[in-house]
Amino acid sequence: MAGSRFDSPFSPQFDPRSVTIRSSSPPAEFPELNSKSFSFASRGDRVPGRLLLPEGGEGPFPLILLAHGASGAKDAPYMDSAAGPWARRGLAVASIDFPLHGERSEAKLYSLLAAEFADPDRNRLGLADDFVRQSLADLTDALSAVCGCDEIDANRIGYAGFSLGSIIGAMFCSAEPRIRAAALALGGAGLGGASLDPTRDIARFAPRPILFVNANDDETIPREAALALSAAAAEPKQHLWFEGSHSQLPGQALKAMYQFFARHLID
Amino acid sequence: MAAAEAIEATKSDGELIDLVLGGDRDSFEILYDRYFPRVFSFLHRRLNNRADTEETVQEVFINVFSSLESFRGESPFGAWVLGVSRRTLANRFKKKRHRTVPYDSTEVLETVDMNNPVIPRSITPLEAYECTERIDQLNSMAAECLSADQLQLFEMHHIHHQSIHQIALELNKSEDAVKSNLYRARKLLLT
Repeated sequence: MAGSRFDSPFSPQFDPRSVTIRSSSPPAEFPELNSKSFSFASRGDRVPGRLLLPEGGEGPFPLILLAHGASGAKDAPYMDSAAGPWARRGLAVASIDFPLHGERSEAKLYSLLAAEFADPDRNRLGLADDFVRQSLADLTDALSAVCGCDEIDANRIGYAGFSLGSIIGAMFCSAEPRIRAAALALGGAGLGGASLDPTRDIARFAPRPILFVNANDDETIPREAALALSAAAAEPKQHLWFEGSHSQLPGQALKAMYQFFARHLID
Repeated sequence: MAAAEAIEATKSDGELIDLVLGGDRDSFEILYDRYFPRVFSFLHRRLNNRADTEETVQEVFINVFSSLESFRGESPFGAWVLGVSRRTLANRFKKKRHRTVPYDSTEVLETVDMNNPVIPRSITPLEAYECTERIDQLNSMAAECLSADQLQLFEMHHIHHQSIHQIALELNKSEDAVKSNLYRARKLLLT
């Protein structure tokens, strides 16, 4: 008897047969970590990802799904700055390239997407809407792909995002029950048009804990935008502010995010 | 396979169930062999993990055995077994929710019971997004096409899920009037 498409507790569209995982080189600054490259099929796209695992132990480790910002990539230097130290301290960290980013780069389409995010009324091509759809599906399937690894504890999963990764993350986490705690850095509301509304459902993330991290001199995310996003979330929530800018989030902020996850995901 | 088992294997589900209920445990083995592939495939598609699947299959058949008396034969036995599989899987996910770490006692966040979060999985994040989009489209279409009264009725019933009875009471109208107004509103939206 065939089940309905809603029978799956995870993602109905996910095809586990499409997943490939192989060992890869860890970031140069963190040679002691174990690194794996993975990829999977998602809505017709091939999505590449990276999984960093703590040195030695077999786990299972709590998992952080870490999302990059606009024009970033799964292995951008700032992603390594977060993922490396977190993995050193016992967290597995998975990240993927969002559509049109990293290995999925497409310069022309990306410039159109960026223009649509910047001024959705004048540059409405539908790319932003499709970007959101594809990203939500990719994140859902990334969890399913990584949770198949023996080293991962599928019951202790957190989400962390930077900038666009935070905005998409707010939309993703609100409808993804596998995420037990979320830390959204450099995110805000009211940017990118109707396709990107992180405030709409974020309250549904409760009663799971959520941490917002922003910078005092963020030239991209105005203070009001950051406050609007955190205001839309329900308790339990925390909002921390650090000295820094959109491109210079201090190490203390990354440490605070780690401590947040340690409290909620590491026994 | 021994001759006796070969004969057993030709028996119908109903005959085997009667034998099991009569105390013949060997007949359950036949039912197990017969339905194992379907149950395994059903669970593996959802768990994506062989070890978890094997463990859950055993749990399913224990549940099938212990509740066999409740099978009334109103549906095929295979469908009933898959129903048991679905319920067993749902219970497994409930059980697997992990222990969480509370905040310090000085923090207000500790008041939330993180050991018992109610987080149903009904749709994926993508489906939630698409659902929101459709509701927005429907809302804007309703705002354009409907009168103020019809819009109010439409929102009460289709957006806020109030029953016809509740709406009639709240607006001091008959249920028939509410129904016919809603019918006209829906017709306008479909044209």
